[in-house]
This record gives sequence, C-alpha cells and structure tokens, in this order.
Amino acid sequence: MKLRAHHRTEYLYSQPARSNSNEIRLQPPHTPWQSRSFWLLKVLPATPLRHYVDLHRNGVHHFEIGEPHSRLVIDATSTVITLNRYADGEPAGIPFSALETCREDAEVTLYQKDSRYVRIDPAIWRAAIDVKGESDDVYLTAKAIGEHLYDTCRYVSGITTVNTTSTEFFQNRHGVCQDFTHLMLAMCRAMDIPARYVSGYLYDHRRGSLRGAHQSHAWVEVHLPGHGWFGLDPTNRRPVDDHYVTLASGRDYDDASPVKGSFMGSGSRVMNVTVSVEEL
Amino acid sequence: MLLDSYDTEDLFDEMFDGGREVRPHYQLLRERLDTMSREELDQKIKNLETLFIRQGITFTVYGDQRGTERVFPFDPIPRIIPADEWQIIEDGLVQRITALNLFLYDVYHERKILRDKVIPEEVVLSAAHYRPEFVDVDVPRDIYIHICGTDLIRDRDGSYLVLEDNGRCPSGVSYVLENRMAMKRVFPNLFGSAGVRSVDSYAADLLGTLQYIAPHAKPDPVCVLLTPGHYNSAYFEHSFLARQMGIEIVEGRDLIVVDGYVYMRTTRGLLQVDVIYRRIDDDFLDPKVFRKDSMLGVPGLVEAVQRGNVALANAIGTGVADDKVTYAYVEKMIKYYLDQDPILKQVPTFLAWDEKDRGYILDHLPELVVKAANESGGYGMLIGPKASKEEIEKFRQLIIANPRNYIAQPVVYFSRHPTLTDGTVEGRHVDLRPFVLSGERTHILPGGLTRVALKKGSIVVNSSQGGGSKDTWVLHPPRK
Repeated sequence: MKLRAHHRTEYLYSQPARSNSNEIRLQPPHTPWQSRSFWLLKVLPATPLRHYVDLHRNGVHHFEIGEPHSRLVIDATSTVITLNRYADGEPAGIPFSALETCREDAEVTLYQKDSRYVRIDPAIWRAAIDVKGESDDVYLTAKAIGEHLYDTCRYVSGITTVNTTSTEFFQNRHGVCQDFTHLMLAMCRAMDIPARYVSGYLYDHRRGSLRGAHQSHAWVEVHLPGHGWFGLDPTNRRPVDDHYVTLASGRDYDDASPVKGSFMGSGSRVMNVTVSVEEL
Repeated sequence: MLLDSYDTEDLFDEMFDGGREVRPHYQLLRERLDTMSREELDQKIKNLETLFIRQGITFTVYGDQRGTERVFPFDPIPRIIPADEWQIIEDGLVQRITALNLFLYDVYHERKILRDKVIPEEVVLSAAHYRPEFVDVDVPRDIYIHICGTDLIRDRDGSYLVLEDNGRCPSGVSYVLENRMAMKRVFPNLFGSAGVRSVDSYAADLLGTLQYIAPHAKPDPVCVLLTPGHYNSAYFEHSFLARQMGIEIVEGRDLIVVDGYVYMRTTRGLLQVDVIYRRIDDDFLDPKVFRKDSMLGVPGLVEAVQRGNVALANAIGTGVADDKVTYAYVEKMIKYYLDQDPILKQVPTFLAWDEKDRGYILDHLPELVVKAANESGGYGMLIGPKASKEEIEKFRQLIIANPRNYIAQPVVYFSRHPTLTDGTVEGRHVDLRPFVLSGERTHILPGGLTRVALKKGSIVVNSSQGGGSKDTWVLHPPRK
C-alpha cells in the first residue's frame, strides 16, 4: 500500500516560551515491510534541524528555539510503501522454550524487563497466566492477551494521561491506545515474551471504523525467535498489517513518543494535533 | 514517417535515447503521429492557431517598436514525463519551496541563518527586493511564496536541475491550461488511452490556497486578483485565472483603503477584501510606501497588510528568495532548515559579489552565462560563447560597477525535443516550469509549462525572446 501521512502539531503559549528544546520521532524507518519514499519535517519558527539515531534505532530530529515565541508548529509529511507482514499467515508454532535464547541477546532482552510505564507486578502476572492457560505458543499467547484487553478494557479518552502506568490502567480499565499498549507490554513481558512499544499511524480505509486513526497511534510488537518482530494492535484487535505506518519503537511511550520537549515559560500551553493518512 | 529522418545529433533528447530508439513513454505518441499525414497535421495546426487567436491567448513584447500583442507560438508535439521521473520532480519541488518559505520567515524574523553565517548577511540585506518594512511582521499561516514557478532544465545525462525559482509573480500557467484544452480539441486521438494526468484542478487549488491565507482564518473570504491592467504582458493570464476561479479582477483604482482595511468599489457600495492575488510587483503596490509614481497600486495597502487585515499572495518581500545570488545558497538552506540533502540539484553559480569568484568570472567571460541578479524574462543576460567582443566588454564594465547585481554560470545544457519546423521535425531546446502552490498543503500541477526555443540552436526559451510552448503530459503510474 502506498500511504501518505500528514502530521501537524501546534503549540500555543499564553506567555512567550523560551529555550524550547524538542526531540522529534516522526521519520518512518526503512524496514523489510516498510519503505519510505518521501519525508519532510517543517518547524516554525524556522530553526536549524539536526538528527541522530537513538538506542532503539529511531531516526531522531532535534532543535532548540531560544528566542521568545508564542507558537510552535511541527509539521511532518511522509510517503511510505507498506507490505503486509502477515501475507504468509500467522507465525504460530513457536514454543515458549524458544524464548530462552532471548536472555543472551542484549538487543532483545531489553524488551523483557520493566520500564518507566510498563511494570510487571504480581496482579498483571496472574492475569497473564490466566490468559495463557495451557498454551505453549508464543504468538498465539500474545494475540490472546491483546484480544483479552480489547474485550475487558474500554477505549475512552480524557481519563488517562501520558504518564499513566500499566498498573494504573490495569486497575481502572479505561484509556487510549497508549494504555492498551502499555498493559499488553506488561502482560507479554510477564510471560517472558520480548515486547516493544511502537508509535505510528493507522490508515482507516472505512473511515471511522478504527480507533486511533486520526491521531498518532500505538501498538505492540513481539519478538519471535528466528522470525523477528510482529505487530499486534490491542486497541483494535487486529494484527498489524500494511495499514500501519511505523514511526518509532522503544521500551514504552517514553522512548518512542513522537514529540518530546521542554521549554521555559510561565504561562499555559495548548496543543492541537491533526493526523491524516490517505492512500495514494 | 514524420519522425523518420529525425536526428538527435547525439544530444540528450526527450523522445529518443542514445541509441536513437524511441523512449518507452513516447512509444504510443510516436505510433499515433505516424498514422498522420503531413497535410493532416498542417490542417490541424491551422485549427490550433485559429483557436488560440479566437481565445485571445496573447502576450506583449516589451521593447519592441511594433509594440504588438502576439499569439504565443505553440508546438503540437507534446512533451511527455513518465510517472517515476515526475515523482522526483514533485518531491524535490516540495522540499525546495518548503525551505524557501522557511528562509523568508527567518529573514523577516530571527535571521538565524544569517547569524549562523550559513548565508552572508550582506547578501540578503543588499538584495534589491529585500523589504525591511516587513521585519517582524507576521503573514497569515507563515507562508510567503504561495505561487511559485520553478524553471527546470535537464543536464546532459538527463537529470533535472533547477535553473531558477520565480517566487514573485510567476506567469505562464494559463498557457498550460489553454494548451491542454486546445490539444484535446484538435488532437483527441493522441490522448486516447495514453494515461495523461489532468491539469483541470489548478484553478480550484489556487482558489483554495488563497482562501487558506485569509486573515484570522475567516470563512468565505473575499478574494480578488489585482492586475496592472490590460497593457501588461500577462493580462490575458490575469483575466483567465480570475474567470476560472470565479473571483473579481481589479485594478488599483478599484480598491480603497479605509482605516487599515481594504475595500473594493462595487455597484452596491464598498465590499471588504480579505485576500489579494496580486500580479503587480512590490514596487508598484503602494505609492505611499514604495514607488511614489506608481499609478497601479493602492495607497495604504502596505499598512493594511502590516496590520494583518488583508493577505497578499505572494507576500511582499519574496524577491529576496528568488534573487539570483540567493539562489546559490538554496542547497545550504535545505540542509539548514530541513536537515536533508537536496533532491533536485542546481547549476553551479559564481558570485561577482565574492572577490575570488569575480576574478574567475572576469577572466572567463567568453565561456560563461552572466545574469543580472534581479531581472527575469531573459533580460539583462550575457551568453558568453555567443556574444560579440563589444557585448562582453559592456558586461565586464557592468559587473565591475555593480558586482552584487551579477552572477555567472557555466553554459548549461537544455535537453532537446522533436519540434515541428517548416516542412520537417527537428530537435529544439526545451525547459520546464512547473507551478507549485503552497497552502494548507503543497500542490504541484502535473506538468507545467514546457517552453521551447524555436530558433535552431538557441537556448533562450522566453516568450519575449522567440520562445514557444508545448503541451506537457505527466503520465499516471503504470498499473500493476
């Protein structure tokens, strides 16, 4: 699928902001199932951009605006060609014993541990055990965890914040894609399944049928030894196919958030975000 | 048949490759042309000319004693661009216009790029079209160049190069639309299943761009097109675009500024104007601020713009971005603001302003093309290899007297395209001016104006200097 995404973030400051420093993770990476054909990041007030590659291999752009300003616009346009990761069917048949090698792989075991928003606490561990049941299939267990969350949690915005942890969401069960993703990560990791947080876009071909399509979206990728990473979207109960555009990944939201920054200023800040994805 | 005796003379040709085989994207056109006899073709060309005269598609040549309005010569063999090539052009233009708009914002605000010494401050501050009146003035949506016509040429290896940006009042888009209409009427059989992308949405996209910049995002804004009047060389285009968009075409005397707001005189009284698509240069916009002798402008207009009560497309002061000295720095701008490498390359440029470059220019005048920094339309230009000794001497003195105003470039190559001449088809040099609209998003009209130098061997494609035009076809991507 050839998809074009436009993602615009606007901040309005009631009092002029200064020393506004930002890290942007909005550049779709090249992966075996995604290629980027065009990408452009525009920042106003105009300022020089720089980039680096972080620990999780995300392309990060950063900038700082020193002078006082009352508005900041971060505007990213990308065109990507996506392939369906599940074109050959679902990767079932991998037993839990296959995960033993993951502990020795530093790049993978990173995603088996606690992180800032993802906590493997006893209650979550017990819930994961219940969903797993007698199954010895890694992929099907991860998929069942996602489906369980879809069935038992409600998609409601305005209840949680960007700082809500998996434990808090586990208790009140009302939240958005970021919360679904954090809790699924915690349950997968409790079962020793390496699982990472992915931020990106979702193309909704039947407008309105999918959650999270008109904002930046998030989902889970699990690592299957010998097969690589596979995406599961607990918010929509869907495997991550060619309707999804990956932007960044990491242990949780803290590693992969699309726009992260700090500024000096005494007033309040209003944020407006628009995301649109169309098929070309 | 028609093309059987065609000779590429081993130059890069749009239609034929190095082995003189027709390029795949021209195959269908060639087959269709082959079915036509010369008589049939001549008859169709007559029909085309009649059509153009009847439509009143004309332009005026300045500095011509006859002072006549002429029909813009048209060549019926279309130029074809395949989808993959067009994608590169489109991506490159989006990148370039984004950088130019960020540069203009920066130059009229914090001037970071000058403070960081990526571009020498004096280059910008000495530009003829720099407008200090607009420092720290915000323009709606922070867009300065809403309509850009970027001239592209193709190098000897076929890669596209940017020759210049026209970010003030670029003209020519009406020919693109009229050429297509005429071609469809006279040569319907050529289109058939060729898969040519439509150019019909331009007027709607242009209107959308104008509406987008209405002050305070006002819904249903009143937009007008401001023309210098019917003596202007592009008047045909002004009336054509206003008609296509369904907006009023006005002259300066039709507008009045009251208390910092702009109004149009109508038969029912004054009507407030929100957006002006102005086809008048900055210098003539407002006699109170710029040229005092301007009879074309509107007194008080600049103040209305500064107060944010009316939007202009393009904004005032964009000339600092399409200055030919600034051009030499656009690749650095792209790197600075966008942290990317330029997708479209440009022509190496020597700046007479720079002492080292100036020495080189003065030593190599017979090999170089010299251009005045702020002229357009092919005026004020020296083509070294074709110039007489006197002309070269004249430019030497001009450069020494005013180095800031001149740049020099190696003689660039223009690709050739089969073109009808008396009785036969020969290769003629062409360029391409795509039109870019920057509003809520960036629209690029598929194709643009292909200008052709009708004189054999000439590379001056400007309509005022003996150029003609061709219909330009951008093809849909092939179906999988």
